Amino acid sequence: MQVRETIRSAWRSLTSNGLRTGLTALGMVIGVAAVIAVLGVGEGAQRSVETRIRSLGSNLITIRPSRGASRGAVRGGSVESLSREDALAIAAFPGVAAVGPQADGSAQLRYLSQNMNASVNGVTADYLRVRSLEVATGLGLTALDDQQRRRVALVGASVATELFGGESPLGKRLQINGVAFRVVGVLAAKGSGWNSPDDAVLIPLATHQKVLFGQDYLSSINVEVVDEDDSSTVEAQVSQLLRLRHGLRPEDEDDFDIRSQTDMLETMGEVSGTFTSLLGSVAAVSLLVGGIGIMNIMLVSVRERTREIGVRMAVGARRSDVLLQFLVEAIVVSLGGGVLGIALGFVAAAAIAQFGGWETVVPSYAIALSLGVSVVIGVVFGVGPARRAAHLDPVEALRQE
Amino acid sequence: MSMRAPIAVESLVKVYNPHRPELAVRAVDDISFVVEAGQSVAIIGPSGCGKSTLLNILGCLDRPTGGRYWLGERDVAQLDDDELAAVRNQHIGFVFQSFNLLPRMSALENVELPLLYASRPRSRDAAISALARVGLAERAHHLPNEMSGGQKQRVAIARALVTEPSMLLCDEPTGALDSRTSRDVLGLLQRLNDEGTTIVMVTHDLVVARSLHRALHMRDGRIVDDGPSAVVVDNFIHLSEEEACKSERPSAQLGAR
Ligand SMILES: Nc1ncnc2c1ncn2[C@@H]1O[C@H](COP(=O)(O)OP(=O)(O)OP(=O)(O)O)[C@@H](O)[C@H]1O
Ligand SMILES: [Mg+2]
Repeated sequence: MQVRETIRSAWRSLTSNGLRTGLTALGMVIGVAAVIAVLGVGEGAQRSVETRIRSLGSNLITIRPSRGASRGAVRGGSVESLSREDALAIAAFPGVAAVGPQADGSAQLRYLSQNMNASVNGVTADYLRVRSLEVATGLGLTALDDQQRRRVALVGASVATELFGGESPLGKRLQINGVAFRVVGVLAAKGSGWNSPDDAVLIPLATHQKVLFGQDYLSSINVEVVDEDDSSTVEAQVSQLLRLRHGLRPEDEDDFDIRSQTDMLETMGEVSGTFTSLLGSVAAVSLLVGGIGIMNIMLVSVRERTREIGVRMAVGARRSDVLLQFLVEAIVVSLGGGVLGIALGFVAAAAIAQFGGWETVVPSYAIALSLGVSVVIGVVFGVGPARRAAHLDPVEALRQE
Repeated sequence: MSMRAPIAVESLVKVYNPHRPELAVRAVDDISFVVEAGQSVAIIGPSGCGKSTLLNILGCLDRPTGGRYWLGERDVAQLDDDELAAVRNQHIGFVFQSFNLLPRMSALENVELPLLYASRPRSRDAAISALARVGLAERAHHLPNEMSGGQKQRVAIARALVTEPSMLLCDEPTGALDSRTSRDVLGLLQRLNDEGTTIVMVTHDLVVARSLHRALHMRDGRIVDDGPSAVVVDNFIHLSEEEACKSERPSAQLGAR
């Protein structure tokens, strides 16, 4: 029997009991829609993390202190393994374009009667360049600001609006933990989110260390490499240098942690990938339920249509023709459900983006995956009932009422 | 029109439930006969004597427990399931008492059904001309439940004919029809036989049986009489009357007192 005829006859027998077919397919519709929506949310999350990390600056390597070393001095829960001298030494490598040492902190900001808490980070002149940040109005920080421990501040976009309202912050006196600073510039907005510079205030590193927090260590060293392809070489050099500078013996673990932007993308990708596959497997369970529904209805259908099977065999249908007929019916139901499910999944993803405020991007592989899985489910759950139909005895089947 | 495919059976046996002695039934018990191409043969006998069982075996719907069945050159016992399906499709047309049309398909689609399973594809024209042969061309797009019993049986015959088989096997084809529509259907079968189709027909209607070339009289799974239909039918009537007398006599005596 030709495939086209088989599909047509499957379609007929399915539409002749439309409500039942629809309800059976509903399991698949919901399952596939759930999978599509989950993959959409997962992919959206991944993309937004990627954009965020990319916006940190290109060709960026970040070095942070780590607790790995037993010899690193630990104070107040932080590791004091990175120093300004380390940063200066790194800057001497030929593959390094610029180095931005950074000391993080959190402080109370005050302007007139306005109060807020924000990150206050001590940075050097190159920091803006390394992190691809731009000044919207005013000036950046200079090397002189750092050398002379000037009390000047560069405020993030959100901080500017929150603290100064409609006023221009330029030249205003800003109190940071009670110390007066002059605002010299406002950073261009980068978009809110994890570790966004919009929510931070930047001050000269020396001011941060000596005047405000009285600590000498760094929170991180940001390194811009000349060529992104060289970043692993630079990483290796930096690692060697720091081990040497920190006097680590070969058996000691690193007391710092070097991550390139690629590493961070990978890590975040892993996190959101795990998250997506977890949710995805929950959604996949509903596909399983949909498949079992199809199997159930196919078994009922074979029983109801025993006589029809007998008639078909009497006029020359082979067992393989009968098998194919019922298999195709199961596949049509599951694939039809899958197609509707994909459509519903897109609607759901759009609704989540609209009302849930999450970015959702349904990846194109999700469509192919859903279609493939639908067919597989049709085959897996249809083959049992179809085999049962195919192995009926023609005389017995014809005797059936 | 059709290839030469006489039927030859030899010591044919069919036992139902052979492995459970208390339920075993010898529905066909050592039957041998030959049907020549173009013949029309009636199978008569009391209910339960094994007529349908025999016909199902002849139609390759069922396999015998023992004996040989030659269909043309083929030894049917040697055929696998797919080959049997092909034989049913190409060489045998089966007509049932209860029509067995698929209810959701139009007359034409029912007639086309065997063509879907044919090894070489044939056009819809074959189905249209088969319907025309049974005089139902204008009913092609009607569903079975929009047709009378006689029309349904004619559609079923068209379906049996559509692959141009060499023989038609009919199990009480007029059993569900009134005498008038029966005559139409029988006239049609008669005409097909005149055109060369071999016909084997199980029937309870002795007038019908007499109108065919030859009759087999079955009893308890055996053939007890085989010959020209007029002779076999007359003997059958004679025998039945004798039996009726035997069984009536005691009660008649009781009634006389
Ligand atoms: N599937 C079966 N299992 C067991 N016994 C069966 C089966 N089919 C038929 N029989 C028995 O085999 C015998 C012959 O049955 P069959 O249907 O061939 O009779 P028949 O001559 O066609 O009768 P009728 O004229 O009433 O149609 C009967 O005794 C019947 O009870
Ligand atoms: Mg019968």
